Amino acid sequence: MRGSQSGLIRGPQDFWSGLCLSAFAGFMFWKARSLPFGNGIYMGDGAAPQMVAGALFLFGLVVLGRGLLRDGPRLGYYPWRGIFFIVGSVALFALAINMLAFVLTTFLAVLLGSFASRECRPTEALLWSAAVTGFCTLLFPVALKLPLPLWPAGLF
Amino acid sequence: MFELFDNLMLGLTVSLTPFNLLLCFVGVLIGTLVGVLPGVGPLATIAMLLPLTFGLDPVAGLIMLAGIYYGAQYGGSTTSILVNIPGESSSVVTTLDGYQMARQGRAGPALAIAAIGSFIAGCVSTLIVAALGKPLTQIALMFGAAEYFSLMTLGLLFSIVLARGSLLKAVAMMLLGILLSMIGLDIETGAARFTFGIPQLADGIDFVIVAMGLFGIAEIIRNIDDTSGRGILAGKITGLMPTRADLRASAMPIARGTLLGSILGVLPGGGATIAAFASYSLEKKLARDPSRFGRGAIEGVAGPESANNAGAQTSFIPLLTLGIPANAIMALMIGAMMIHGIVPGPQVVTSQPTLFWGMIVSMWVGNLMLVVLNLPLVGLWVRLLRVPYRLLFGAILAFCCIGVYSVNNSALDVLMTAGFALAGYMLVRNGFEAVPLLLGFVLGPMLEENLRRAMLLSRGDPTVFLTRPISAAFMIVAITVLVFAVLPHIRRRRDDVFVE
Repeated sequence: MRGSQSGLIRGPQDFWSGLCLSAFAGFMFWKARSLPFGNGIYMGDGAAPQMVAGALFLFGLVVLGRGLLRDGPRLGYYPWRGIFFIVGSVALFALAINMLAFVLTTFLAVLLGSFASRECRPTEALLWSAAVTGFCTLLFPVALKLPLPLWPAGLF
Repeated sequence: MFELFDNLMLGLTVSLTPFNLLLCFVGVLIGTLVGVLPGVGPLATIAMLLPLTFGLDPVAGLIMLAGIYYGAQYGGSTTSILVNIPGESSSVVTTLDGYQMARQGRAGPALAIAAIGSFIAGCVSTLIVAALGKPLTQIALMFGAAEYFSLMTLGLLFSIVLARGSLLKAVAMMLLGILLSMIGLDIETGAARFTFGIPQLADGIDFVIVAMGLFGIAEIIRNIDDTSGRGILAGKITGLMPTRADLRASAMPIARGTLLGSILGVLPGGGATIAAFASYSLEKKLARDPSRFGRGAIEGVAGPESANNAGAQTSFIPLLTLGIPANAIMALMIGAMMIHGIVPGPQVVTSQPTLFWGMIVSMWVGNLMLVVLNLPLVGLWVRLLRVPYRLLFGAILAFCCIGVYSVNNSALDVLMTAGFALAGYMLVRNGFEAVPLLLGFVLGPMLEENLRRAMLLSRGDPTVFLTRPISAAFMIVAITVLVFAVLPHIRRRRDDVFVE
């Protein structure tokens, strides 16, 4: 997949990933500036973060520059459906666990995740989510006695 | 010599208690079960199953984790042979000849020889770990801050050089990993670094979050729409036992693979994988008829499978003696040990002999269990592979979420895992490798601490890394490795220019 792009960016993968890395490193460097650098003998708590962030910034720029100078792969196709439902499922677990407790959260997260696959069948997904939830409930809180509240407080 | 014997006996008494034996078995079994699943390597398996060990005492917990590790590795070879999907990078080579053997109806012998080779390699390398463990900790006790810093630099360089793809991108990933490891309170001054006013970030980001995001969840995204190559062999596996000719052909490759793997496993930066590749090319070079390789040569299964198991085992040496992980899985083992309240390093062998020797001997016990108990279960693993991925990944997803959550009972941890999964997937899609990031993340705090200490001790003289002999030796090796890695790049680039 060699990009025969017209325009400035010849290797879009390199260009955009380099840009993201440099931006992140730049932001971290800016945050680390307020920490003391110290000197050669007593290195402050800001010395290493600034050095590493600075180095990452430079390496990001080199990758970015390579994207401008050399033909490279295009960004290509992203499985947005999979990304959305799977990352969403993990995020849902995070947001719901304190409110809905273990059983409901696990069920909803697995159910939402099921839609990531293009072969997803709703009835099957419902039954399977229930089965996985049942198994996990028996395994983690019951058999292994991990301290996980099963149901929201006041439900039963 | 007698001391070694005594120590092994101590290990045996620890690992052969019925309870520990049971845990070892359960670990091996579950490890294989999860390792067989497509797209779940040992790293994700261990991360996912970590909560299973929380309720156990440290020795039992680590014995079970080690069992999960070997089981997952074994599961990876099984899928390589049966479905041409390597469960992990170190069994990639096994697909070349193992899958071909399976297509010729010789899946049984291929699986058996992989297990036998792994077992022999496991026996030898367990002895090596036991024999070298004690003397190496003696050397490690002489290490100062400068030596540790140089050794870790060497390890990080190895991980960069061995990463696939661009060297430049691997360095960037390592730096990103180190940078992320700095989030939290500074160990010396207690100053808040990159915490953005969020109190939960004061302790830093937990290692399990990064590993699970990058290797667990991101893998699911990668596999979700990939239905290619899932051609499971329809025929039944008949005749598990290899013939006498098979055994004779495999004997020397197993011996050579074991030796090669034991040496390469100690090297930092992904020992088991290079060991397997090195063994395969060695066998191909030594073979009378190299053209048989890639068409179902049993040597091509026996050598690499022995080598990667030996490497997997000896990679415990730097972890147990120095407290430095040789690869990403060992990094996870450090995380697991910390959760159980053990700080890995040279002091473990003297302060906790039962843990040290119990774990070493349980490696051997785990390998024995794999041969005796798992081989007959191959039929079960095959049936498991027939479960469609659209169902499997839901269960993997649930395990990952619960696994991360149960480390600290923190919802923010799970949310960060989602973030790492997204970022990790994007990075891998754009040609960045996740392993250097993970290793940088684990080694980052130790690297910084030792750098600061070394500078303080030397009164700010940076030449200390080159004037102390052991440190200088590490640095010289590091520079040599780097030069060798960069040279072919330059050459290849020149070639490219010539072609264009």
